[in-house]
Amino acid sequence: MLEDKGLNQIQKKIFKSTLKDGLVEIFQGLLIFLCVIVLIQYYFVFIIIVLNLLWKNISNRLKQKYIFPRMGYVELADNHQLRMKQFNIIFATTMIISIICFFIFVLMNSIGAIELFQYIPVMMGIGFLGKSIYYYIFTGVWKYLIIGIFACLFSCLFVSMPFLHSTDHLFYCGMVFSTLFIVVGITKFLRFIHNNPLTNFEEID
Amino acid sequence: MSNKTKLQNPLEINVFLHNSIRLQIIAQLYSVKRLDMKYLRDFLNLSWGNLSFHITKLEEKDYVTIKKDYIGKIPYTLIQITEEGRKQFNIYRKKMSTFLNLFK
Repeated sequence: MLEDKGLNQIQKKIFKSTLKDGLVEIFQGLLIFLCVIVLIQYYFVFIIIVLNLLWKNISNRLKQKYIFPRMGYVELADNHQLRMKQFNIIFATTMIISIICFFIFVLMNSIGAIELFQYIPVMMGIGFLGKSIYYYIFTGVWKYLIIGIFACLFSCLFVSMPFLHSTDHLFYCGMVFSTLFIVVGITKFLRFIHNNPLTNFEEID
Repeated sequence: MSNKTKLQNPLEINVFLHNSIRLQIIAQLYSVKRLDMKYLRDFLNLSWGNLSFHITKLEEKDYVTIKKDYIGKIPYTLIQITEEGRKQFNIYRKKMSTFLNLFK
């Protein structure tokens, strides 16, 4: 129905407004960075788990201090939150399975592991595409989809590069992705702070 | 026309909700769980006075609830649509849809 489409548009617009702060990009950048660091020091995997567990709390504190006073407070509808949770569970499960597979291959020390490392950037690109589709569905912004496709193509390019060691493909690809995400996130956050100065609450016009 | 006949008219719309600002407010609130006055004001590009007036009207009709709450250390005026508000908005949507379909 036409009016349902209209309400859907409002919901998308509201969700889009909650992404303006760049915190999601910073989190994703940190996550990729830590995933890459795991290649050097395996115990960093615990920091990934800690970051995932604490991120909601850190993000809420940052939002309470910098975002809500500038933008106002909004809580998404239950059905919207449920759909997001379902999508996040699928994403997290895929990630956990990938990490477990990674450790199994490392422990087995097989030749297959070395070959697999070479193609992990492609998996990373596909992961990005999945996340981009998620943002496209919930916001309706084409930009997210285009970024996902570029990320996927970029990761394929990394695989074809003649690095000496197969893990180098993943390391450099991850470093480029994480740096880009953190830079974009921080830029968005600073721009948000700059464009939305603090105003007195509910002043009378 | 008697009151009974008026109520039976399937195309009779809720005039109170038909006001463009009130309709926009209700549509926003229908799409979220709750939000605060500042967010709503910026989103709909309204003045504080205008928004406050219509929110009060909606509260009087029991379409929305207003609650002052602290998030962190900052107070927010949180607005949430009630079940009655949802019901009335759904009725309004259906009636308007039927009405507009007559012209297709």
